[in-house]
Amino acid sequence: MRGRIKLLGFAFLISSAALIVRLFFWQIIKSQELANWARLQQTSGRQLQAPRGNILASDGGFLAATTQGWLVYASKSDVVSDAKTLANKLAPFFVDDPSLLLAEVARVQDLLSENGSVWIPLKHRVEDETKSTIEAMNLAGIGFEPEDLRSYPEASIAAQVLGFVGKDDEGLDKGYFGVEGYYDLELSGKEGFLQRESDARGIPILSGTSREISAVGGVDLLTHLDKTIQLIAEKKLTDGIEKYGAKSGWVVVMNPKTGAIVAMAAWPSYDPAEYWTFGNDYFKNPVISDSFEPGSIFKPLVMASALDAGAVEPDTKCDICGGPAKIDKYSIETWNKEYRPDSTMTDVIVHSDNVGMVFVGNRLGADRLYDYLSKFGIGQMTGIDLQGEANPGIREKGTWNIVDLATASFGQGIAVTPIQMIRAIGVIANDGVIMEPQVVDKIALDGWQSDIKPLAGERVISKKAADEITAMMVLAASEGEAKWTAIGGFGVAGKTGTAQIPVKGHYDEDKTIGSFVGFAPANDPKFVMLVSLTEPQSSPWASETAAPLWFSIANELFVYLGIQPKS
Amino acid sequence: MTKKIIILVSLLAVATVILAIDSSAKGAVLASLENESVTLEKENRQLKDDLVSATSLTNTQKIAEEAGLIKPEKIIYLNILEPVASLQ
Repeated sequence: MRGRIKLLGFAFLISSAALIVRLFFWQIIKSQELANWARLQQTSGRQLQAPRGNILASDGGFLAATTQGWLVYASKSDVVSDAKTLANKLAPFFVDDPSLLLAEVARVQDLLSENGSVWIPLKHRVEDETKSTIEAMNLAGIGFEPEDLRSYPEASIAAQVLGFVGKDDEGLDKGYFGVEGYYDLELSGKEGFLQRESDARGIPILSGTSREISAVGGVDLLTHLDKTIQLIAEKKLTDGIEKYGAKSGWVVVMNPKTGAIVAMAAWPSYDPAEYWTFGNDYFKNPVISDSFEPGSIFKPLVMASALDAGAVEPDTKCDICGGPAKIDKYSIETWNKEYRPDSTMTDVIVHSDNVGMVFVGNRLGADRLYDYLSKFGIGQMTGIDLQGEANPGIREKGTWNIVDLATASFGQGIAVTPIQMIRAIGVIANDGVIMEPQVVDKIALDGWQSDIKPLAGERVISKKAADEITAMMVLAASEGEAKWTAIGGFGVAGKTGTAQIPVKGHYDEDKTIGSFVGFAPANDPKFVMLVSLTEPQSSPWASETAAPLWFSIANELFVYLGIQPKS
Repeated sequence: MTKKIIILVSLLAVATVILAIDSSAKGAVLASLENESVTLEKENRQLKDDLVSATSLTNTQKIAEEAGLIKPEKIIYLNILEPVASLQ
């Protein structure tokens, strides 16, 4: 009995020793390796999404939003169909245009036939509906991964203002052009990361280690853009382009008191949700990036400067208006070859008299004109919050000769961008004070909101001078060459402008840019609007193209903005 | 003294087990809440997608046109000083 107990004790001792040795092996010698294995099994990490912010219209409606999209991929080892069959089944869901179907089938088939690939991305940015349809087909080896989809619910509306979201060199989302480009950093946000230990069922181990970097979502941008006005402008512009056979055109509507851009339309346009199907030429916003010679719509700026400087009064008589003006080796004529001796300054604006403007320019002088134009913002960036603004600049002060002064007086030989032009006319509508044009009104994130205040600049001309030039523009709209299309009773102050297009050092005889710029009601303007049509075919004159288009848009704005006629 | 130590160790052991169970239960609750959060986020996203599409003025315009609604071609402003009808 005693011997058996001893034997049992010995066996226990041996077993214990073996156990201790084994434990020593696993717990001490292999401890680091095992800990690493455990960590790999228990620790999991995942990205915390930071969706791109939305771009909203002034009423809070969506102009650009981040919605749920899907990446369709093929897991090669799980695919059972052959590449051709699978491509034929999937390709119809990847293209809208049936003419591109064959090319898409070939593309998908090539991808599926690639040797050495295990996980093959087939199509990015697939919508929910398409995903559900493909899922219902139960195609083995075809899977989906969520990804952000930038959606533009109004399609091509305000495309050049909004810009689009493409990819950067590292394949990450990046905004290009317009608001998407200018506010890319603010809209992008920052992705977060969560790493922690979980058990075999995936339940987090609270006592384990964890590391979390919170995601910061992109901000929402509330713009001044009014969807209704934008839609009116887009529709009317498209109709106008077709009606007058123009090559391109633009419409800008601004609140002169705040500088708020309430509508900005340009044609041709594109769909930012499918930007890659358009050429690079479509992306540029002509309102901020293209320069043009403004022609007669520039005259109110020169006249306003002369009135403010005291160089002329509204009833000052032009003593050179009886015939063409001889400047150096050039002869300056009126647009219709009609001459009105002793025209007053009001007549000069009403009849858009080039010779009269030469008279005004001479009274003002080149240096003073330069100073005023600079104060009007001509030759300077407007600072609008859109990516891609250009500035054609103006000749340096002191280098203007008499021909430069004469031609600039009636808007020739000087280039502006449409946004510079509307801002300058906005000065007259805003009692002489310049405002910075602004697209974004507020920045918002999770209930927090920051208002971007209107940026008022300096006084450019006195209120008296602004009132005088406004009165002239009211008469120009109702009695000038566009009077046939004017709408009476609303007090529209406006001016037509037909500018020739400079080509290789001379002006093209046939090609023109017709513009009409104006504001209403003249005594308390609710909007200032610029309409331009390039190379209209039905008539070269702005009074027969841009002016009727301006008034047809204004007619709808009067109703929408509740502007009543005086009589 | 030994008895006290045994009781203390036993209490500590029991407390450790209770804490482990509690921690595991809370972990399960956390996992459940996270799943719920993911579901709600998904629903929220779907609702937002619907909202984006439903508030499109371009779509509304198309629907209005299909329904036969048209814009008035002429606007008539009435002068309130001039009665449009009067009794004799």
